[in-house]
Amino acid sequence: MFNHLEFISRHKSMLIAPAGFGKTHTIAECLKTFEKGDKQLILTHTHAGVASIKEKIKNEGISSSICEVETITSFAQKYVLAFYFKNDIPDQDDSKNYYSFIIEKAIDLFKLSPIQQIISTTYKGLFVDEYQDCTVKQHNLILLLSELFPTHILGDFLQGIFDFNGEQLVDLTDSLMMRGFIESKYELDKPQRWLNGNNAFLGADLKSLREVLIDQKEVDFRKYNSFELKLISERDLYNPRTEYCRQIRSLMKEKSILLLHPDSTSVYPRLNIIKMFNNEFTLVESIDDKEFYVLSKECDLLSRENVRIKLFVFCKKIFNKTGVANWLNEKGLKRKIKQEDKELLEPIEAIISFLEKEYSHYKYAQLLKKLKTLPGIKCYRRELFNTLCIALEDAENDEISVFDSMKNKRNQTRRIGRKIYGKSIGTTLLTKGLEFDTVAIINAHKFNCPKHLYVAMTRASKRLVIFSNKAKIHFDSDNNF
Amino acid sequence: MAKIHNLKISNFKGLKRFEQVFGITDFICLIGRGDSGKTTILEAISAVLSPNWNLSFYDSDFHNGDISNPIEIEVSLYDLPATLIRESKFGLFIRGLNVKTNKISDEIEDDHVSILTVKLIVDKNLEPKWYVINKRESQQPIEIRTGDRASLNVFLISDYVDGHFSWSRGNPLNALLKEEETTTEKSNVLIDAFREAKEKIDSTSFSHLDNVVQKIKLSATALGVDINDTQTTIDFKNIALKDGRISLHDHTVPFRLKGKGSKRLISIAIQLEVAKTGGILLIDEIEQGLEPDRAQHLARVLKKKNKGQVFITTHSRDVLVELTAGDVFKMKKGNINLHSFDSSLQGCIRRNPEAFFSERVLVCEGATEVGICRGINNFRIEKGDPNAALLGIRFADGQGGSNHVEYAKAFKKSGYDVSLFCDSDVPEINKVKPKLVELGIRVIDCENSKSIENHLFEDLPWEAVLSLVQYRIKEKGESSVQDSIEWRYDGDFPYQWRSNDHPAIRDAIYQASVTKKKEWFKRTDHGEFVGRIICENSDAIKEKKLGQIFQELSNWMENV
Repeated sequence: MFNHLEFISRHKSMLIAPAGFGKTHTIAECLKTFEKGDKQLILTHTHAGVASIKEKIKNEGISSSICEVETITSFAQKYVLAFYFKNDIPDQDDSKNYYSFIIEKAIDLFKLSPIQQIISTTYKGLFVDEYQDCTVKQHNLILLLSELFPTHILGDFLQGIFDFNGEQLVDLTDSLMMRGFIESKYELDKPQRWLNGNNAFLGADLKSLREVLIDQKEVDFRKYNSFELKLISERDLYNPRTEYCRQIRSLMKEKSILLLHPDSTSVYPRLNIIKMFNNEFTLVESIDDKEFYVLSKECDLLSRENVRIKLFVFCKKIFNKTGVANWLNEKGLKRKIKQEDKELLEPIEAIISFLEKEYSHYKYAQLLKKLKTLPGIKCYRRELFNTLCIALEDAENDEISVFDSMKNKRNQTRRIGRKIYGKSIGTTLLTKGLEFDTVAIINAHKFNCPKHLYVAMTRASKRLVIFSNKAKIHFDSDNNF
Repeated sequence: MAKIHNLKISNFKGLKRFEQVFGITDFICLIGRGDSGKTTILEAISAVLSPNWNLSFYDSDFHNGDISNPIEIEVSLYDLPATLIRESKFGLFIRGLNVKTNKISDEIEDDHVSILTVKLIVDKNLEPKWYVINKRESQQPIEIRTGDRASLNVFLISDYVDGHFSWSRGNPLNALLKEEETTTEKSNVLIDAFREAKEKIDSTSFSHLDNVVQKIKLSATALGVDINDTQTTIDFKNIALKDGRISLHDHTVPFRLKGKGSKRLISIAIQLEVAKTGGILLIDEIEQGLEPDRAQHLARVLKKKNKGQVFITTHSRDVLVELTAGDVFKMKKGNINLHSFDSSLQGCIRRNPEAFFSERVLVCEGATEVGICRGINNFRIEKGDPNAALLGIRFADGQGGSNHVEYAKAFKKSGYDVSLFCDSDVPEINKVKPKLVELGIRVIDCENSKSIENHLFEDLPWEAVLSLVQYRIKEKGESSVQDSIEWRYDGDFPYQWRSNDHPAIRDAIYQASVTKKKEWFKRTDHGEFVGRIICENSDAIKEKKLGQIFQELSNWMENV
């Protein structure tokens, strides 16, 4: 049995916790043992992770003042933005360079004794969740912090799927790299998530599947009774009359469902599915998706002179093209013959004329919201649209550029974390650490990495549906861990 | 906790602009003539670190009453309390102090000492605002609240110390109480004690009032109201349950009614306890209301026992002799910073504490020279000429050797107007004199290779020489003095030497007067007599070197 008191009694310790085995619960149990003044720092990688830890802490009735939950990046960013002296910080929309820059400079800062003093007077201990996702650089940063106070890391090497711009990830099994931690290694062994009123069989099946994946053996979905395997042909996904689509439509009756797509490089396959199923699924957006910044920069270029002629191109980026083409053209609003159409366009035309007299971001946001209500116009990226409108309004209020306003919004989400509800579509990278009653994996045979597949399957707490064109999957041995 | 590294003031009371680096030091003594701004400096520190949220400001607090420029007081602190440098407080706002150069930088380095800079701004609305600031572009000033400022434990002891005997918030007694309390125990001991007191009052019967109460009870019953449980006790409506009402008493006499000196001492005793936990103690005119020995003792205790930082101002020589040169800073009216004192003045501070309070120092080689200067000053007083005190001049005793050269240099460096009065019989010292002149020190000395005694017996009229001899005779007896002169005379000593003004005799007298261990004038009082003789003969020696020395001394005194 795992003993959390022993785990935190070590100055450095690590806990290997498979998905759903009660890792967040363990963190909460550990937190309960600390005195009020002994504030703990809890770092993780994703905003989803931050949100789920915070929610757990709240539900357990633990005082939020006992700990600070942040992503590693936002913690590092806080210090770099406060203390870094030069002006060569890359732009935040240049995420490739920005994040590694932040970590590098934070490492430099954390070596300075006045700054170490701040950290060690603020915090009395450190927990790092999802440790398998640390880059080697982030690992070095954590090593520096671990000199200041007891440090406990939690993770699962089988879930190490994050890939920060191709930077090398930490290897939890490497005894040299993990020196100090690996000597005090603990493991969780009960699939907690599926025991408490959920699908206990699913938990047991996922546990045994885990061993197959670790041993790099062939996976045969049919061996696990709790998995709902649907053998389909991949092409059928784009034909609404096929069994594949019919099955997905029947899943839409579920309250909490996550569709997982194997392709995380492009957002378009997921957008296509959203269109296919009548805009009922919400796209889980990446915090640093370029589109957020691209659109905000375009808004910054808007003026009295160009607001009308740019509207068509702009709308095509956030709404469906056919819908937009029905109401707009390169010159602005189309001339409509029908009286009811004319009436619909009248208030919109009024806003555009207003903007041509006196441009304001606030009014522009109103314009977009109004356009969205026109019949036939659909927005497949609701989070993008809503955030853009808020960024426009805040830019006006705070007298800053829309781009800066958007950066604030995205950083806020980064800090606070977010929770995803309802019917969503995402990828393993975007939903790691979250759980859904029902998970449906689209084109499961397309997963070419066992870690991604493991993460995808363990998101489900009650029902796991697998769409695959074959029952057996064997991963190449170069996908070792 | 926390100590002050440097202080910047603008537009506050008498100070238009002021900036001073104190460095890493636990004891600072401010000296300076009256009205030079010493007290204003303490008040500025007290204001910028004030634990009050509603500190009052008036138009008259602005420099020259000009409210168009805001009052700004900025203080940089080190040895910071842990609570303030937490990330959630001001940790991200720290700056770095390079201890070697005493420079504060906004780019932190490993060997830096953490600094927080607190700034108070009062604009024409008279509403004080406190911020923590730094010069990093990415950071805006952030407000620092009452409670956080209170954790710095800064207290000013001035004329109004009565408040220090009460237990209210923001007072030193309360700060001590907070130290005692453990973190878990947050109950208000004072209020509880107050409630207990009320219970006691409640249980006493106000029996002599019973008759009246009884009448009212009956009358009320007649009207149909039952007030039979009525009793008389205190209504707390007008007695606020405030810790400010609870204060220290000597038996039943409140401390605030004690004598001025005792009150200050008790107040300082309370503050010292606070200072032991690392607070900042500000004491204006430490000697006020105290006998010299008590003031001296207080200074000694403050310097030795304090664990925080102490700022005092003083006009007392007795206090000054307890300190080291590095502790002392001099304020001069209109200056934008303080003058500090070189450690080479250490001996001087013990021997000549008065000199430090003046503006102009006449450094004398030894006791003879000090005496001569005093003699000249006495003569000026008799004549009704402006005297040294009026002219802001002090004579400092160099005590022979080469101390006087070091003193003169150090005084000059500390911003004093300095003159050096010395012999010219030591070649090594003669060599450095041009350098002293270069530094701006007025050197008043003898002819090359001569001492003041040389000039006395060469330059003074014979009558005056004889009166110097007579002065010695009065001291040592006729035969001893005559033997001494005769012994140094080459050849047969003329019997009638007194009526024989001859260079050989003058030389013999001179030789006798400087005999090792038997010097005639090497005491201040003897020097004073010499000074008198010089003054009385000033017309007769006008053309001589001694006359020139006298003239130069007089000119320098009168600032000519």
